[in-house]
Amino acid sequence: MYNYLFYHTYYLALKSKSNKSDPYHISIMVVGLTLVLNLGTVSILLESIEILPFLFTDELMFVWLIFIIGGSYWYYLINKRHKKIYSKFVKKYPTTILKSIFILLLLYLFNIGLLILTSSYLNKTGVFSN
Amino acid sequence: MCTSETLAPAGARNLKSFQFFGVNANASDAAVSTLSKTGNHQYYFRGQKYWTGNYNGAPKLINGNIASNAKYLKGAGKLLGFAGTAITLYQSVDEFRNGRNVAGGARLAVAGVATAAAFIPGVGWGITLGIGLADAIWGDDFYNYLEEEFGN
Repeated sequence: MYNYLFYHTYYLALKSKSNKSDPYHISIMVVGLTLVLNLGTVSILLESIEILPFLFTDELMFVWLIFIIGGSYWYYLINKRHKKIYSKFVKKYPTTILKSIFILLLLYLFNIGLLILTSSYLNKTGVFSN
Repeated sequence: MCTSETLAPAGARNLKSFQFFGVNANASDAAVSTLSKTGNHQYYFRGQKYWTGNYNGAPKLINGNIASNAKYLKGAGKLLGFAGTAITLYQSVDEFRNGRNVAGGARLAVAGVATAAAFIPGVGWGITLGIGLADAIWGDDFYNYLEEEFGN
């Protein structure tokens, strides 16, 4: 899913004036932000089923962010993997600007939905109030 | 900068305009006289001949360092924008966990806007960075206000 997300952002970046010269920055940013959301969701889920304490604390914020941002840049820039992923996906999933925007919004909302659901489960609110 | 008789055409490389990237004026002036290769057009500025396009034979100081310095500065700005947005998103996870859904939702919206702003031509990444900075300075007060006003 992350590479798919990366591909659609990369495609939009290549079409935009502000990111055309180095499209990997914004693409890595979108993947990194999604990782923050997803790891936070997993951490809340693990806390709610009492496997692990909540790990996304303020004290650990910079450790997590350095790990996520550094890891994302490392993964996509090493051996120019970003170019390989783009050329692989562009053949497999031809897209348009509107389609890419729609997919990105959908995935963002999906990840937010997961976060809200897990936090509702933890706090026993919303659909989990009973 | 081009206040005298001739204005530089759009996209042309006036070496003097890069002095603030660390190249001193003498180096630039000396280099101009030795440049040989052309782009598609030439122009004159204060009696000197300049070419658009790349300068073959220009000292590395000018063709290489300026470009790479600018690239690194740009990259650093983007990295800071990324970090600022990531902090906002990170804190939104904690807000949702603590049941502060309004504040969490607002943080998510701000992070979304900051990401989308990066696509605005020219100033996009500056706006992203600005949103991250504003969020770091005034964010907590703003989100606390929203939570108190609209939260449960």
